[in-house]
Amino acid sequence: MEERKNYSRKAMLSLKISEFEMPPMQDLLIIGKRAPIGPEAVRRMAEALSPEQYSIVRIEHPRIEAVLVRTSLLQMMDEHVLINIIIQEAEGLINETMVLRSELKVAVSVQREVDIS
Amino acid sequence: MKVEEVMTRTVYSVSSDRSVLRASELMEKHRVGSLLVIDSGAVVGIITSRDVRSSHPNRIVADAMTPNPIGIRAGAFVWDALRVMERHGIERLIVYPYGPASFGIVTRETLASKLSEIIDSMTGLFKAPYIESITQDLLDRGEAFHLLFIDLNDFGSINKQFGHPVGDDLIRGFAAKLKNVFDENDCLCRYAGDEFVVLSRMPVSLVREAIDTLSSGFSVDPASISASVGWLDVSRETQLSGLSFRELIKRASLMSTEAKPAGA
Repeated sequence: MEERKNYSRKAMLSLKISEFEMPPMQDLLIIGKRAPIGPEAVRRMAEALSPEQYSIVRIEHPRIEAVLVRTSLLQMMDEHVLINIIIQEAEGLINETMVLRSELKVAVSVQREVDIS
Repeated sequence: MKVEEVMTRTVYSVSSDRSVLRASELMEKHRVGSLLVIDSGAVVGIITSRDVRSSHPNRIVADAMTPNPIGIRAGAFVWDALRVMERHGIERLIVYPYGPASFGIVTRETLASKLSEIIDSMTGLFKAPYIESITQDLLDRGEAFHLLFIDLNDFGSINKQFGHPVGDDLIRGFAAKLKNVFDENDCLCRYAGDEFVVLSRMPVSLVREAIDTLSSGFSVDPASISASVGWLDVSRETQLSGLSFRELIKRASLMSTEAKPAGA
């Protein structure tokens, strides 16, 4: 009984607050074939968070089912070229249960020569 | 036999935004192997126990289902349902609609168990009662078709001369010839022992060619046989609704008898 008198339970709370990134999925999500979230769920999530800004591209690949990509990137370069680069870089990292997030920036460098005579 | 006679009418459904885990629980609870995926009253997919096994339980049903499932009318014949399944390599068809927003499911397993009732085991052709219902359906819908009554000439003497196994080989061989000559959409039937009925929608010229081929003779070593064909072009009839299968068979069989060579 004596021991019980000194008994106490306490909870320690710790908060880490930071700004929620909008959108949280950055430029790309690469979705594995057996990932816990599938392409349609990802599409619906993206549509709810950032309407009309992302597109789902379904892929024929042994481990990758689809890629969610910022639509503006598809407008900047050919879809086939872009997706091929993404797959080449991701397939060494991904297994079929994973979802990878990636940033992808396109910088266009132009150099022109003009006649000044 | 129509799909509505064999389909499962108690169909369970799930919406596409529910989890695969929830779909799995529903299947277990209702002891079914598939669920229709229905969003806002429209069928958008079907999810089967195989889909559940191969998907992460956290996924939504939309990511595990087969979208835009293939369906069939409740009034379609079971053979047509089986043909659709074989063409698409699938095990189930949605049956719709048989009532307001009501759906059914028919499985290949169910159809297979019913097939023995409509298929002649020796030839793989339809039995007479099934082709009778198809004929009646075509007549009721006012569709033009050809009905051929085919009788093997002097078949009894083959059995007596060479024995019944040779006779059986001839019947099987002739059934195979029918399958070669007619279109896959035509209905082929072993009407009785050595009599066959064909319902065909081929053009007249092709039907004529088929009759020439069938009449020209056929042999399975050591026997050979010819066939007599009675041909009714139902499109020439003015009153389809007044016709019956019995009447058509009567007329076509008499025509086949007239076509028989003397003594056959």
